[in-house]
Amino acid sequence: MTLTALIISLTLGMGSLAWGYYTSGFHRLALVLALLVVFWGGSLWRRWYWFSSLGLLAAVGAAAYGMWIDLSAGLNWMIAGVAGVLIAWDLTDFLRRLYLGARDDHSRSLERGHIARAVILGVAGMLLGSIPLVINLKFSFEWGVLLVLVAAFGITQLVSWLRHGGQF
Amino acid sequence: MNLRTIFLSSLFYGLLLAGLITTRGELVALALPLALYLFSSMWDAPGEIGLEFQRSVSAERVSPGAPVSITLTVSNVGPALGEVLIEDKIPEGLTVEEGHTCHLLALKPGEVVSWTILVSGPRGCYAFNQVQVEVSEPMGLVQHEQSFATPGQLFILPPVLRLQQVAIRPRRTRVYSGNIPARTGGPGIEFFGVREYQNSDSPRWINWRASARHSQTIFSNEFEQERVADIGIILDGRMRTNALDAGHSLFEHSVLAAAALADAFLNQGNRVGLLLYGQYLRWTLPGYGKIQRERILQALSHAQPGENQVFADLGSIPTRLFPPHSQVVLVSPLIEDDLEMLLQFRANGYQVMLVSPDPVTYELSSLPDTEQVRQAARIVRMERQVLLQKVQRAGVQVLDWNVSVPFDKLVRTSLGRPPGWARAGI
Repeated sequence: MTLTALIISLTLGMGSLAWGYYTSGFHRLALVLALLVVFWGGSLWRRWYWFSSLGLLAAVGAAAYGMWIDLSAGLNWMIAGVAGVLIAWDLTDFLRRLYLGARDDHSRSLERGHIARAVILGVAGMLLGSIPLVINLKFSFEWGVLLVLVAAFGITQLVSWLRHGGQF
Repeated sequence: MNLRTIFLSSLFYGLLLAGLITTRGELVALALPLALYLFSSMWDAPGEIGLEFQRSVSAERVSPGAPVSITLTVSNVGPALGEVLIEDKIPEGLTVEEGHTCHLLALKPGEVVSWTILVSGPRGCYAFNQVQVEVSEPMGLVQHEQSFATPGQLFILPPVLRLQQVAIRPRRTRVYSGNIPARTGGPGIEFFGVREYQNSDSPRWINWRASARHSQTIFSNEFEQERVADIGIILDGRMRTNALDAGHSLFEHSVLAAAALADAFLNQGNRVGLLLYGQYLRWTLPGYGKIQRERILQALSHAQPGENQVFADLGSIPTRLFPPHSQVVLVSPLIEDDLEMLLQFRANGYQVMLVSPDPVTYELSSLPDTEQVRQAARIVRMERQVLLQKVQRAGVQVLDWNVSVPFDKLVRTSLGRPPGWARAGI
């Protein structure tokens, strides 16, 4: 079940990115993204779970590049792609944990719950990310201040975590 | 927090900073799905782990290879746990025949879950110490790990062969009646001698032939008393004597022999002690009966061959552990250096029996049948025969055991009666 959901989300996520690039004329980049799906699938077969992080990094990088160059075919594909790949990345690690344990009724109900939650989060994230694009929010000074504050908070948290030896 | 969290946070902050630096809102919008994912994980971060574990083992002492079912019951007495990975740490050496040691599940408050696994393994003492628990929120980004003590133990005891009769004649016996001839006259079965008739003697004991030769005196037969004896078994666990080429070892055979002999001696009512001699000394104090049998079998289940410079030869055996003139049984493949110690034992007045699993035949069975191997085996076998003859000449009862022959069969043929020189009281 998880594997099926993972393949679907991966195909949809990377497919969205590839489609965005393809319709904007970047055929080679679209092909690379499509190949990434194949490699990701191969890594699952070989149980190289670390590859999913590489895949997510590539997907976010591709989406950011698409945003940067203002893809003509639509930026929403980029958001959808990141959301889909994020779900796939999550499910890959869940699959790893699932393979560690026994397959029984508990694991099956856990799978259902996890997939539902991942899909909800992915869809919600996609909608949340699409809102600024749909309503075409401008990057104002106030937004900048807010984001600086958020970034500062995050860095503080990171420093705190490192000072405590990786423990909160 | 784990590596995945750091990775996702880095991506999120990277996009955020990129958006800030370039003043491109689209990049910030791209970071929002990641932010939502991170926020959801932080929100659901697991709190205190309120788990209780209970382990039950179907049998605490089994024979090698016998399946044992282990049931682990988990009770969640704390808050709900989104995702729990429970790994039962099975001691090294045991094999899981059925079931899984690792379970991934979600636990509601008050929920009780249990599972059973079937394990089996070779001889040994196995302690189940802990269960490793990894609790995380459903997305697996925030994790807590904790170990829970779940004590339990499993003794896989060596198989015990039933030996019918092991005839020994130590020089000194204990006061309690038993099966071992005590070299003194008294009530018994075996003829011991003739003495003048005493009032308490049964008329059936009168030796009429001897009495007929003397007109005034009546003689009666005297029988040899049978008592229990002190027996010390020394199990040689030195790597240099047991380990052979290609990972083969005679030690399991030595353990089997020691277990069978200890069982037979205890069944005869003797007081038996066991000394494991190898990497370290492990002394099981002498005792009688079933409890002592259990103690010895448990000690044998712990026994492993090992190397220690101090105990490289048998010279470090503390002879004071064995009562003077008692019976000592050494179970060892034996090497040339051990001869001196055996002579020392004899000189100290101990009655010594050597049970020696034959390393030559054992190793030969796993080697290719070539002329060189045959020739080498002939030389090594002659060396061993010379060594065993020297040992025998010193008054040690030698049992050269080709391990392809069952030990009980060998004992039946070789130890059913004590050797002639031992019966003569040498």
